[in-house]
Amino acid sequence: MKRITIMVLILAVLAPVFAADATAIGQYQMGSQMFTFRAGPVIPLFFYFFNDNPSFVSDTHLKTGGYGSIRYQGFTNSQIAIGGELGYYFAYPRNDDLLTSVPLQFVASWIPVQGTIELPISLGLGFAYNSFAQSSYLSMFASAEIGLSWYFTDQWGITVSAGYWLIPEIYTDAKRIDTSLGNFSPIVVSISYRN
Amino acid sequence: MKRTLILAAILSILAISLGCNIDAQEGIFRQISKTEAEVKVGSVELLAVDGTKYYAMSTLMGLLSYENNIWTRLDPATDPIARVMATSSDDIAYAPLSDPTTGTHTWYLLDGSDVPQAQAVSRFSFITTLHEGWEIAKTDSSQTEFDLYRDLGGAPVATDLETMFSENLWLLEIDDAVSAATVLVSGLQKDSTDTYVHKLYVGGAATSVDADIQDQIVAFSYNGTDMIAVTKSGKVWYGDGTTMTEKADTTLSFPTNGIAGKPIPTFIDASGNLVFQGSSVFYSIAPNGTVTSISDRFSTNLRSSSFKVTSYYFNRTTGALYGGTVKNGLFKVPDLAGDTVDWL
Repeated sequence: MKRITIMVLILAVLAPVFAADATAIGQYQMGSQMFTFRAGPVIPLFFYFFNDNPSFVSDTHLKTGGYGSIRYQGFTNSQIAIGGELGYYFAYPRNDDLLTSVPLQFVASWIPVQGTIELPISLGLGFAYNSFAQSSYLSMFASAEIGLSWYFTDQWGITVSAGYWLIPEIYTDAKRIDTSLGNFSPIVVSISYRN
Repeated sequence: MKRTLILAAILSILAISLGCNIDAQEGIFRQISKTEAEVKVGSVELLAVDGTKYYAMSTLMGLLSYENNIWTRLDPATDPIARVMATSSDDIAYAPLSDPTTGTHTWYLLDGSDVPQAQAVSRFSFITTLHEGWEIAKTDSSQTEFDLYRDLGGAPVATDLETMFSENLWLLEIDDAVSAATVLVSGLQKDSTDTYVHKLYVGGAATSVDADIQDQIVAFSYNGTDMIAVTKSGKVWYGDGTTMTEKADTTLSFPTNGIAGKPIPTFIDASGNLVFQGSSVFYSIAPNGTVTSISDRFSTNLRSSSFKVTSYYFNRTTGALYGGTVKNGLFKVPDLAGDTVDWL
């Protein structure tokens, strides 16, 4: 029953979006560009330590952190945009040391619903420079994200999106017992300019 | 060609990534998963445990007791503590700064109700141990001669240490249950800048430790027969004390931040092994010199480089290990065979 209620709610929310799609005119074409300024909280989800038993650590000891970034994308056709994103993430654990991460990623977005209301879906892949206490680590970085945008003018829009980050920490030496996956969920508000 | 370039780019990033992560610390996510809240009393040295009550010396708040999540200051705030120790019977003793007229300390002993009682001891104490009441002091009649005392006793256990040592010496204690009335004095030879001497005192009788150990000893164990000595440079020596052998293939590393200038904190477990915190794991050294790295059991949640242990208190009756840390207050390991660490 609960699942059905959730499905109905999701459909109710998305209905206007697809209604908008029915009347929308294709917004983009090859060569269109989009600049985005993004910021929001990041919720730590869990760590996964491959060599631990249990491997799954849901209490990461991290507090909700913050993220800010700039993104630039150019359209390769009417629905697909590719580009890059440079960001800065920070979060405090239980002590006063600070975790920071500077991800630089290649981002590809698919925008199947376009117009005043848009539904961007993005995938990112790159690397991140992570620092904590006396340690630093250059890692791979992967992200996935879905958002809901509202363009209040032809050029300017605001987007709320939820996503998932994967930050692997891989060791091959004596520290291989610390090989792990960091999993996070950013909730981001974006301001976009398109032309 | 394009696919090859992409593959090469990915491999390059991976190589750079691995190359940037060679250090002695644990992985970042491992460190984070072990972080604990920092206490506001500064670095804490655990002196004694009395049931649910803990006695500790802190860098910011002085001499404290801790019970039911409450820190209570025990010394007069107007007189900073210069020396502190627990006696061999776990009574807490402290000495405020020396009297500018006589240059000597007045020692106070806390009675059962934590009320300081002045002791009839008048001397300048300049080195004390944490748990077994050992003290090196100059008497008020001489500011050049120094002797070894215990439990605020009036008569010295050993005299004329100034004839053997310079004043920059270290005092390493050992639990009475492991070897009664045993303490090691280690330091530079009198009037020397590069020759080290080490004296093992057992019940007041001195034995010269093998002179081949030409480095500061920062940790040791002795069970009446076998001695282990760990030097400042991380070398391990084993033998009977007078004759020691260096383990040539072993160099240990341990965190020194916050405890520089003191012996490293150690405890001797129920099997007689000397145990202490290394840079990334715990080390256990058996009386025969066998060194074992401990990354599991109690070390699982305690070996993080986030924690720097300042002091241990091992309860041989219950098998519980207690400790003080630089930032995170006190902890308790209920069972050394398990991985539970309770932060107090």
